[in-house]
Amino acid sequence: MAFGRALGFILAVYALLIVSSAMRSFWAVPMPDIPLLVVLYLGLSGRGALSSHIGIALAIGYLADLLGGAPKGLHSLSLGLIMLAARPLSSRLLVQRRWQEIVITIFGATVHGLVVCALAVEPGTTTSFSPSVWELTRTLPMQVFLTALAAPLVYPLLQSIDHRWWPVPRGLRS
Amino acid sequence: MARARELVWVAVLLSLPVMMLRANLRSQSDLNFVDHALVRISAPLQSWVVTALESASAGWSRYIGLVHVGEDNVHLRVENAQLKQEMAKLQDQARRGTELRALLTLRRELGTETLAARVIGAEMSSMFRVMRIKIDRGELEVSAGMPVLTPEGVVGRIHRVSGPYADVLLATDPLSTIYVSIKRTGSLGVLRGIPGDSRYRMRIEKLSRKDEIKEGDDVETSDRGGFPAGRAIGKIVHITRGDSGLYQEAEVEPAIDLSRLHEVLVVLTPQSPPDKPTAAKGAR
Repeated sequence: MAFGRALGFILAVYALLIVSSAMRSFWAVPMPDIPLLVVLYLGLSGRGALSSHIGIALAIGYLADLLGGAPKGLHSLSLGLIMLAARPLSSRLLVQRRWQEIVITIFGATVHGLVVCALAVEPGTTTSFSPSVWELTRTLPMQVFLTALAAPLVYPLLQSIDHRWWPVPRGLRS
Repeated sequence: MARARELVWVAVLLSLPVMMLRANLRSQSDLNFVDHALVRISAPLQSWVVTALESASAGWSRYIGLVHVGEDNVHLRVENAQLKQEMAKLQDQARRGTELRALLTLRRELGTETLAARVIGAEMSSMFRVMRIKIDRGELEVSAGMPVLTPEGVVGRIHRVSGPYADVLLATDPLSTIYVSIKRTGSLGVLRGIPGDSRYRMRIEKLSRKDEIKEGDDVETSDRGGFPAGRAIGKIVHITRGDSGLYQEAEVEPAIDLSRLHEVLVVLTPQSPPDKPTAAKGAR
C-alpha cells in the first residue's frame, strides 16, 4: 500500500475520531464505530499486501485507543483481527450495492463488538473497560445499528480519498 | 516464500498489540512520548469541535427553538391572566374580610342591635356621582329611617324598602338631613347634601353665628335623630357667614368615599327617634 494512501486514511480516521469524541462529550449518545468502517473498507477493497493493511489497522486502533480512553492495544488488536479476516474475504465477496454494504457492516460491527468485549476481559482482574454482559446487550445493538447507518455515508467519503491514490477502485461499490 | 514472510510479518505485527494489551489490562501504564504528542495535538482540535458544536447548539436553541418559545408564551399569557383573576379575587376577599372585621368592631362599639349588609347596587348621577345605594336587606330586616354606617363614618339612612332589598339615602343627598355636632366646639347643626356636580359635599345649616368654627373641624353625629352619637361624618372645608342673620353655614367633605362602599352596618334600634330636622329647634 502506498504510504500516501495509508497516511490519508489514518488522517481521515484521526479527524473523524476527533469529531466523534467531541460529539460524544457533547451529547452522551452512542456513536458509529468509525475505525471499524475504515478497516472494513480497506480490508474489503482488497489492494496491497496484508501486512501493510494490518499495519494501518493497528495504527487506526492505536488512535482509537488513545482518543477513546481504552487500554492501549485493545482496538489495535481487535481491528487487526478484523482486517485479518476481511482481507481474504475481499477475493470472495463483491460488495457493490448499498444493502450489501449495510449487511457486511452489521456483521463486521457485531463481530468487532464481541471481539472487543472478549479481549477486554482479563481473567482474574476487573478493569474499568471490560463491560458486563448486561452493558454489552444494551449497547452493542445500538452501536451496530448506528455503524450500519453511517456506512453509506462513510464509504463514499473513503472512496473519494482512495481515488486520489488509486483511481480504479475494486472493492466496495466501484 | 513471500507468502510465509508475509505471514510472519502479520504475526509479528499482531503480537505487538497483544503484548501491549496484556500489559495495559493489568495496569494502565502512563502515556509515552508519542501518546503525549498526539494528545497535545488532539486536545485543542477537540476543544474547537466542541466549541463549534456548542455554537451550533446555541444557535438551534435561540432561533429554531423559538418555535416552542412562542407556544410557551401563549400558555404563559393564559396562565398569567388566570393568576391575575385569582389574585384580584383573593384581594377582593381580603378586602371584604378587613371590612367585615371593621364592621364587627363597630358593632361591638355601638352596643346596639345592628345588621351587616352588602352593597349590591348604586344609582349614579349623570356626573357619575353615586346618589343612592342598594343593600341586600329587605322588609323583614330593616325599615325606612334606620341609620347606615361604616367603620369610617356615616353613610346615610334607609330610604325605601322594597322586597328583599333596601335603598339607602346617602348623607350627601339633598333630601338627607342628619343632626350633627362639631367635635371641637360641640356646636350643633343640621347636615344636608348639596346637589350638583360630581363632588360629594354636604352643608351644615342652622349653625349659630356665635360658634367659632373653622375649616378642618371634624363633624360627627349628635345624639339626636336616631344616629349613634360621635360617628364621623367629615371635615369642614368652607364656612359661609352672611353680613347679617343668626346663623352661619359650613361646607363639609365626607369622611368616607361614598363611591366605594361594599359593606355597611344598619343600626336597627335607633338611639333616639329620628326627628324632623326641619324644625329649627333641632339646630341647637
